Amino acid sequence: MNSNIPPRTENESDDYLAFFGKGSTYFGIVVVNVVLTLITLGLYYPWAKAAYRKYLWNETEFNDSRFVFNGTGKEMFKGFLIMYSIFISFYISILVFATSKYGFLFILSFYLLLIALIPFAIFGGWKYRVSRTSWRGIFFAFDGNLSDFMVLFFKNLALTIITFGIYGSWMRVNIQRYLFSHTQIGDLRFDFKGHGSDLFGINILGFILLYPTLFLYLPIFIKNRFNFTVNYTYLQDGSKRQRFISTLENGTAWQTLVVNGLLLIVTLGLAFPWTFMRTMRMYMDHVIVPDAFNYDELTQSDNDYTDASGDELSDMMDIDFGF
Amino acid sequence: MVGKYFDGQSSKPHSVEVRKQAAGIKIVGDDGAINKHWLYVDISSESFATGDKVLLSYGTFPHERLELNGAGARPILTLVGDQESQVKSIYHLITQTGGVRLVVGGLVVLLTVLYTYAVHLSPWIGERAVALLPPSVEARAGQVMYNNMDLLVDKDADKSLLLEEFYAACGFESPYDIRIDYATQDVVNAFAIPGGQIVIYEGLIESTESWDELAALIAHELAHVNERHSFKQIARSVSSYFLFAVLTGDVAGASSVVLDNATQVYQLSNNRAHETEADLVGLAYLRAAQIRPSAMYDLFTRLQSETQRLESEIEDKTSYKVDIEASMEYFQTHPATSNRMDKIQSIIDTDTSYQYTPKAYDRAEAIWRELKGE
Repeated sequence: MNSNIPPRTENESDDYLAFFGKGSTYFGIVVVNVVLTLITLGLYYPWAKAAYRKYLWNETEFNDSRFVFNGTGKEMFKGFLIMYSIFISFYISILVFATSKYGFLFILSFYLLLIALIPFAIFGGWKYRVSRTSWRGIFFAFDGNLSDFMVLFFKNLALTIITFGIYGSWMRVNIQRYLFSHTQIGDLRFDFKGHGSDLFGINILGFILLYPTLFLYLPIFIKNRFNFTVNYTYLQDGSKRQRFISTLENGTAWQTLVVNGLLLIVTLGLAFPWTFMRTMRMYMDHVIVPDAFNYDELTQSDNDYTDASGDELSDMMDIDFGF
Repeated sequence: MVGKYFDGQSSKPHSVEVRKQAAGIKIVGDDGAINKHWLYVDISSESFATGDKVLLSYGTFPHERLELNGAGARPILTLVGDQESQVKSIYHLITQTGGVRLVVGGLVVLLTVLYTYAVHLSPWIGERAVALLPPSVEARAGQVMYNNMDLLVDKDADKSLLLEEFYAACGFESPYDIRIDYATQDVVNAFAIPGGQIVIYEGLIESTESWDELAALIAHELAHVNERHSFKQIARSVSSYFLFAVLTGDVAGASSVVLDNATQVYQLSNNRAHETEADLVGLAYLRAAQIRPSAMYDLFTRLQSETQRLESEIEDKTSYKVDIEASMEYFQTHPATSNRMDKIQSIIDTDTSYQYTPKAYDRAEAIWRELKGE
């Protein structure tokens, strides 16, 4: 281990992200998780999720230090219980009331409640994941405001509905901007400057090309979405700001993802621990982190945050807004 | 051994020398500014199933941290007082097993557990869950299903009343309030809705050649209702959906399609198990009421001749010879009729403990004649 880390200079660019996850190790975790989850009839699920995340975070490296997911199964189990009780009471009330004369009103209000929970799930899920992530002991922090986010979400949702879904790309970008711009580590704040029109272009192109190319365009589509996210993400400290750069190209994405697809088909899906690790590596190895900052001088800024109920909800509702 | 120390306040790495001691580890900085002693009991491990990297944290938030490299650092993990280390060690044990052995052994364990869950545990849970459900809820849900279906069935109100009277005359028993609809379409079919609603099509009633065949048909449908087959089906598919949700947590696309198809095939076979059960339970109802048990067999003879009629119709129209039974058995929700007949016949033949003493059912027989327009 080198004892004298040379002082960083502005033009040095050795800030790198790397992913070291191995398919066989991940497969081992999957085996333990599936077995324990089934034996406990699902109660183990939050611990299983903690195990997956701890492993993935642990195998992601930035400047020679690994990320750590500090969340625990216990924390997430509380959220899991809260969310399951909400859902079970929903279902029971539907069972009881849906068959009555005004059943459609109950079903309608159920769906409205479900929609009302989505922003809570996105917000809570993001906040939990961010604030339980650390690097070199420095915790990421999220200082978004739930009611602001709710307003933003429903305004965008209304526009999306009015425009028959066209505004959906703008909505996604606005949500992403809100989440990123309220996320920081030390004094460094993230930001997202992508435009809805760019994402709309990517999506339209995908929509036009996916079926005629029999999904051979899918890797390119995934690459475009990834590059859109990375290339418009900024780090900022006071007046200093610099963006991330993705070096992922069509050829690499196509090769990686087509091989993954074939492996999954041939093994009836059993190869997914390996294909998942390949995909993660593809992403992480192609991100250039801004070099304008000294990452050895980040300082701790946040307190412990352990409420995982939003996280569970986002998981149950299949919403994912991860990097 | 050497490592990097972080004070929890800043991301600045400090190169340190780490020495193992009896009660803890000693951490000394190269420049002499750092001199720490960590007790094993207060150290937590932050590394999770990662080869040679060892990440330790100490104390309360914001934690001091230590990053160690190399196999020599691993033994420290066995000394730290980490609450979750028990579980972690299971993961560690599994993931450290060599590549090929891990994959083969893991696959065997995985497939065994999945098989046990899908074939034994999941149906069992389904049955228990349904047993908890009060019949009133079932009846209400059944009513909703029936209301949705109502438009599709042209029912004859008078003949429906006759069918209900026929049911009452047979003396079958049910905890549910049984209602029977006479549907006027010329279809050889009948079905039961949870909570007690039965629908019988005119085509099927017309094909019966004796009143007790109709009794056998109602006994079969009644068995579906009393055994709560529909809800068991739902409970089973929910619990197998759960299995696939756990499995597919991270898998997208292709594999979920495969699993979806597998579920469908699995449900079909479950369905057939329920049909067979309804045959056998229905047969028991006939016996209990002292109605001729072989009427159940005869009923299937009618179904069979209907199939043959269809086959010859297809043959006439297309000049292709088809064997619906043989080609469809795997994809049908009902077992092949010939198999059902064999099973019923073998029970009637072999079970000598039961003695059939014919009993007069004049009212039922009269209603059947009226329904048939005789």
